[in-house]
Amino acid sequence: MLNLNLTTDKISLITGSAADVDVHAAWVEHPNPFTTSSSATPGTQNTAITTATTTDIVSVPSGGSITKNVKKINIRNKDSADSTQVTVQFNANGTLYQLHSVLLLAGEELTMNDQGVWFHYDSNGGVYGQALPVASDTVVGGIEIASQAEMEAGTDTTRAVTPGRQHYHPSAIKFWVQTTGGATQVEGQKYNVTSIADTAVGRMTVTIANDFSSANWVCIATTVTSTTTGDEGICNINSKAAGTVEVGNRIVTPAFADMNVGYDVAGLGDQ
Amino acid sequence: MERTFFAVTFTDPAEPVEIRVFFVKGRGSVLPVGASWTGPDTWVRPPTSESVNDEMERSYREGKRKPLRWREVTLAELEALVATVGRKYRDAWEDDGHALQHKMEKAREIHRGYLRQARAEKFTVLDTAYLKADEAGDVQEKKRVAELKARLRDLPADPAIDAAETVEQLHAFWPPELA
Repeated sequence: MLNLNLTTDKISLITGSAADVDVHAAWVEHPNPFTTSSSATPGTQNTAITTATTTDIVSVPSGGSITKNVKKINIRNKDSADSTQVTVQFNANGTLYQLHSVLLLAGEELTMNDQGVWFHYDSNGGVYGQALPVASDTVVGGIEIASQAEMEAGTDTTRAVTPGRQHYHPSAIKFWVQTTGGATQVEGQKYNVTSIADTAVGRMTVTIANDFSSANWVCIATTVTSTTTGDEGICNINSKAAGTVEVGNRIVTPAFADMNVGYDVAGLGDQ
Repeated sequence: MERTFFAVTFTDPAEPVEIRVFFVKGRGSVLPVGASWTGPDTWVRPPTSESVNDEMERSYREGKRKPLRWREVTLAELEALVATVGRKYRDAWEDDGHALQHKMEKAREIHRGYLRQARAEKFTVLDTAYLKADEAGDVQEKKRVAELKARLRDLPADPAIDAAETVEQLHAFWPPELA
């Protein structure tokens, strides 16, 4: 609340530029000093401002030994487009004291409640708050989310990684698949793979959901076997393209042999 | 349905048919053509002509093998293909546009390869046996080994191979000399 004790005390508003601004003020006047037999008289004042000017928004008390206890001030920029810098000032017989000053964008409000606390509301009714400091290794604060490009660059140390973008980092595996091999092969788990193929004896091809930027990516593949003798060979990457890879179980003679369990294949690189 | 199968035939007749497993359901960060999201990172993709054509185009655009045609096949067809002899003649598989089957000309060559691989091991043993017989002056043993080696050398040309009309008959031709 604000108290106007003298007949020369008033509150005025400076609007820095033209905009449609409505002001509502509410108060209670009572004798000063206030006694048990005193009575209080409520009052309001509404003001419409459209230009850059200084306007009285709460007038002087109605008489001597009267205190005007201002309970509420509401300043709303109802303009559809224009913003304006508003400054609330206490006018003590011509001596001006600034109380609060904000830039009101179109649709925003500045209010004072009966406890004298000022709030600045945005056009959606949200309250402007104290800006968080930027978080760092030693400071608790707000942190920005890393974009796809920032993830792919992989150098930023001030932004946070989200689950939906972590796979863009160069260190992330871009696809993987576990499969039994063979014509009726069953894939176990898979990620970013759209099909696999029984290409020939001991050869299997994977089609990746999102092509790498070129054929220069890293393929990690292994054959899976449940026995210690028989079909083991060397897991070979027979051919690699931006969107596909063929792996095989290479032995001496003949060149390839079917695996008795299957293959695990994964890939890293730029997509 | 999690997946469906396609038999892909290539323009090069030397290439065996490829069996492509088309994923109807998947998981990842990228939505394939024709798919729709069912969760934060899961998708479903019906095997429409659009989605299948896109999959085939992406699978073969960079390789040397060019597809001639593809046909959706059933799990039953694939299981029937391997029911008797397994994948022993896998590289002889072909699809004539109506059915998956073994191309017998290729199957016979594959079988000859198996014979050659098995007899190579026998030759090593027989060569040692011949040397020992020679050192011992055992003429009869040398003659036996020589005749056995000759039979092994002639195996790939055995008329039973050309006479085999099915892969089951081919598979059954395994001379006792290779036991």
